[in-house]
Amino acid sequence: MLPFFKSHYSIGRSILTLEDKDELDPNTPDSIVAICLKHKIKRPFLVEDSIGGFLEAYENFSKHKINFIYGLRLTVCGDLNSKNEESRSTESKFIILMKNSKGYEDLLNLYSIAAKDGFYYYPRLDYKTLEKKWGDNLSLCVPFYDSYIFNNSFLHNICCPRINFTDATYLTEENNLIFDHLIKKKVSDLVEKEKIQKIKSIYYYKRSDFKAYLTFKCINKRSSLDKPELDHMSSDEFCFESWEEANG
Amino acid sequence: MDNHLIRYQNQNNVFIDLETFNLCLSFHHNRPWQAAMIKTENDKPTGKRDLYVDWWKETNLDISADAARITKFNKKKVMSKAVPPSEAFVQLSEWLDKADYIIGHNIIGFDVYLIKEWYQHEKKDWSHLTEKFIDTNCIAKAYKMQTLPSEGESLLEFQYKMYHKRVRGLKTNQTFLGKEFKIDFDYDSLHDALNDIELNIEIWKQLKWRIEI
Repeated sequence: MLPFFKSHYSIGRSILTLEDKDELDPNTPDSIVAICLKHKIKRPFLVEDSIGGFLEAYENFSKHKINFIYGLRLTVCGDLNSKNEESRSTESKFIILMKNSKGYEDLLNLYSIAAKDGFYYYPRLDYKTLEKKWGDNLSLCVPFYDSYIFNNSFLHNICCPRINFTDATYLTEENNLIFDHLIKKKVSDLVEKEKIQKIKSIYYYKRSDFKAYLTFKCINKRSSLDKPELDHMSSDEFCFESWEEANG
Repeated sequence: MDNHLIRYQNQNNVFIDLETFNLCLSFHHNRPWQAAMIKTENDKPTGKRDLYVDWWKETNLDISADAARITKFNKKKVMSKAVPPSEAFVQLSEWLDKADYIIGHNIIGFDVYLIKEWYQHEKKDWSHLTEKFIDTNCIAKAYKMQTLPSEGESLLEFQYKMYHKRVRGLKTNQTFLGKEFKIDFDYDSLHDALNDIELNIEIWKQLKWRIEI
């Protein structure tokens, strides 16, 4: 099972930082760098929702000779020029990973298009652009949540993915959510076993940090712990502790 | 020919409603202080359990002001009837584990998570429950939108689809449904878990004949 970290640069999605720290200090936010050093994680995945944290990640991971793999989780829609509610029902998330340093340029290029041309509430790409700009330096993954499989099954979305230009990897997770088994079955019915990779999304260090994470989400949502208004926010499994247990 | 439809099945169901400290979906910040259940056999009540739970000995969490007001929470009354959480859980899980369906209003948006959390708290597996849940709020939405599950779609998946659908002006709360279905009921007594369930049984009886699930 691969550890897919997310930092606070993905706004409202994680309470982990990318600070250069050798040790975990219980009085300050936990750093992914410190977690990797403490637990000897040599090749962590850092999958962000925006590219802002790349420089800090690169500097601090490099300093400690941690060979991290960077990726962006982006919204892909049917047509990036179509900016209306109907087009939003065609949206789903994809993860684009860099395979090498040249991949950084390709990813930056894609992100620029998403943020400039495709922006509608948030940066968006479409399949046509993705295919046109695709290269061997990038790798495409279908996330477990918010993917076209998830959105077509649990929302009223009509996502028609056109990703034949590359071999996508389908990511699966187990986070004790009520519908996890349904998504997992859909993925295994759809693609061969070889294309499926188990991962763990990590947004906080320990299960006991869940309340801090939830508080952070509530602040971002302008809601409260007593009334978070966050759908399905019941699992404390999106943490490093859970990944570590699963990996012995 | 339509024997697959829930309406024609012989069922032992449990209708459930939880009253909680607040609206958080996690035991990190919330607990159910009341769990009311009515067991039915083909929609006829065969048993009733109204469990009050004393969480105060094992957690510092307490009911929020809003929840206390809405549910007319009376700590003295609750404490006089309350049993330890593990004792309440035995009674809760005994019925839920054996039920064909577990029915509640907005159960998949709320109660499901706290039931799951409670099972985890007691270190019990909850996965056998997932396909049992029927949410009368989601089914009412489907009925009003004239939407049916597509072929191969599980009931849970269909209900989540309905749960995520927000339609302006579409009213599916218990009071509205009860009045729409002309159910004779004391609507001022709602927000007491057991009363809510009694109304929900009547709503379910109406709903299951109006939509083919």
